[in-house]
Amino acid sequence: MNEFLEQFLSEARELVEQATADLLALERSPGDRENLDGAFRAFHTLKGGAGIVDFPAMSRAVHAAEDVLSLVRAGERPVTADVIGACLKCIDQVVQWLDAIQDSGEIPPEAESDADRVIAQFAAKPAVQPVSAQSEGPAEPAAILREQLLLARGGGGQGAILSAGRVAANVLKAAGRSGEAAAVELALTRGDAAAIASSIDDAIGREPEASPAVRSAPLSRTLRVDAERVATLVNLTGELTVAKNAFGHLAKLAAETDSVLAPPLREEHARLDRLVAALQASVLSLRVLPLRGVFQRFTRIVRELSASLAKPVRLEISGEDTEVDKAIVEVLFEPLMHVFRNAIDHGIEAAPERQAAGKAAIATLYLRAGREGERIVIEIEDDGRGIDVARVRQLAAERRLVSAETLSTLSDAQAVDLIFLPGFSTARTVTDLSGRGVGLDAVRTSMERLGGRVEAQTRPGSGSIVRFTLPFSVMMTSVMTVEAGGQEFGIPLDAVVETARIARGDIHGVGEAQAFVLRGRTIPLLALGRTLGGGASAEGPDATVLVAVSAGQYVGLEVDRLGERMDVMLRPPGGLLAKASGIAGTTLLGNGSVLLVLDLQEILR
Amino acid sequence: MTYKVLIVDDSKLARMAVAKALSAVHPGWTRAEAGNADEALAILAEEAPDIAVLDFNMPGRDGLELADELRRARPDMPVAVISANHQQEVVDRAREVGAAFLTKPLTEAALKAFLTEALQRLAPR
Repeated sequence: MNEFLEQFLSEARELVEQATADLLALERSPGDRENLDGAFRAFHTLKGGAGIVDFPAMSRAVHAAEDVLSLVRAGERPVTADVIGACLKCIDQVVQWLDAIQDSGEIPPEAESDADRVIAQFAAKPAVQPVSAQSEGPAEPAAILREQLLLARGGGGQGAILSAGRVAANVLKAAGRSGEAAAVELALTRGDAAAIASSIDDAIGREPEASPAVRSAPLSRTLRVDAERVATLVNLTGELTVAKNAFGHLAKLAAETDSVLAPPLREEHARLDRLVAALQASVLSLRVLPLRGVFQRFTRIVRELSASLAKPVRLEISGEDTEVDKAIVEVLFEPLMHVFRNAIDHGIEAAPERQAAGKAAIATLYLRAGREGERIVIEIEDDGRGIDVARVRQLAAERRLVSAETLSTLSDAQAVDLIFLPGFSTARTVTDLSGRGVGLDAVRTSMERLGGRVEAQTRPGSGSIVRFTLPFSVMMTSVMTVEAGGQEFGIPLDAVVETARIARGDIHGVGEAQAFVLRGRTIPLLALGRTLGGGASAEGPDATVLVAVSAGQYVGLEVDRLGERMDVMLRPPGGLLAKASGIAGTTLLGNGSVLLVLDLQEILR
Repeated sequence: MTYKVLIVDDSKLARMAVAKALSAVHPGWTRAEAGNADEALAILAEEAPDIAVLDFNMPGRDGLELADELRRARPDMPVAVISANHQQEVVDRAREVGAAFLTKPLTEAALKAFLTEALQRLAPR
């Protein structure tokens, strides 16, 4: 694909997003000039792009939308559902074309008739709309029946055939054709695949109104589903996981008491385990969104920030197609905003300083995203002056954020991390943009709450990079269970470094605290049971220790017993626990008890 | 003698198209690109372009407003405004601010004609 076509694809996808967002907003508030102008401009730019890559069918189609919006702008046409609908249909068609170009690397050769259909939408008189909607009614059962017939004859196995038969029977019943429904049901009770297929075929043949020219509606590649329904699905999957864990518990019990049932139970549990895992993965993938929506908001915001600070800035966005759990997408905006403000306010120099440094008059900000394994990485990079590490050290000392001793041991790269400490701000004067009081520590906290990280890197004189690392999905947490002070707890597995047995004699008192040395590293030791206010642990000759790391800090947790590793759906702590610190969430165990999953960071504070 | 052309369009694709046409017509010339009016004015101050080609339809200040500002700052600079819609109103307003009007997608011939005329105006300098 040549670079023009590539640029066309990426720009057109952005414009399609923008037009869709503006059209939907316009539908909600028809008087909104900004959304109207935005949608108009998006179609106009789409037309321009189609002209450049020589795609006349698309030029014509989007021109029709632009024309209608132009009439609306001139006050000659009201914003109606028809106008919005036709424009959205036009966008759907454009998206199909873009997909085709992406797949084949070429402009679709037979797009003219598609374009005609889009343009006809705009010509349709409003009064015609409800009528045509009605005439589509009867066609629907017919289409479903045909699909069932295909399934029944498709050789998909007995299960598929039976289910096709049941769907067909229900469709016929709903259409008031009980006789034909009974015929299908009869074939169903006999379990006779051929009879099922022919009974469906018969019903299709007796279609009451042989609807003229059953339009093959363009199959949409996407389906709009209410977010609530997806949330319900996610919750049900969570319940199913709990039920599966309970089943696993029973299978284990059976292994102790019933030698006949135990093996098949274990096998079925393993199968269920795989299925639930697959279900969970696909349910969670319903909830992913591309980052484009969030990223695009910054195009405008950066423009505004750049204007208000009189620092010309160009934003380069890449990786906006990266998909992330909706729950993460929703909270990303604020932290990114904060980093952008910092970058433009403090990072990027005023024009004279840039000129003196021999830099381009227009500063460049990069907003990048990508997937690395199970994690999503988002970076904001600027080509500004970089972070003044000496100044960071000085401020950290002045504000007593760290001891002078610690400070002297920090490398420059480590010292940069001090900017994320509460109470830190390198702003020499408090400006409107960077906000007051709220620092980068808030950014770090919000990322860590999601199981993510944020770090900064700087190259003095040439800019800095802030990197967010986030989980792809927020739902599943791997935990390790431990028993301490007579209670069972979960420790997030990503915090667990290793488990060890430490001889009592190797544990030393350091003031009131205890510590031990493991592989040359001195690690503080906490008796988890006591720390959490439970009973003291039974003291054997060795301590069972789980070594964990939190915010870069190592800690050994002494426990009575190590449990097992499991993946759980973490629920936020509710009720009485909501205010308890140190609890990251709860999950139901197979035996029906509630497992508290600890928030190590809180506990170590 | 080579010249520097300022290309302003919020669509990078459109800037690429103008740049391609420009390098076909005058291979030796340099160019500067901006995505909006503010960037364009910054470049005007920093890089002193000789000629400007502006998109009409941009978010923020449109091409005509920018043309007006550029002409006020640099009355001798040849400026063209391009638009995909050949609206008489835009053509007239372009003329009012002393800018040429070109249609989108920009052809090499149209760009060449504009640049030839621009050179005649720049030559006596």
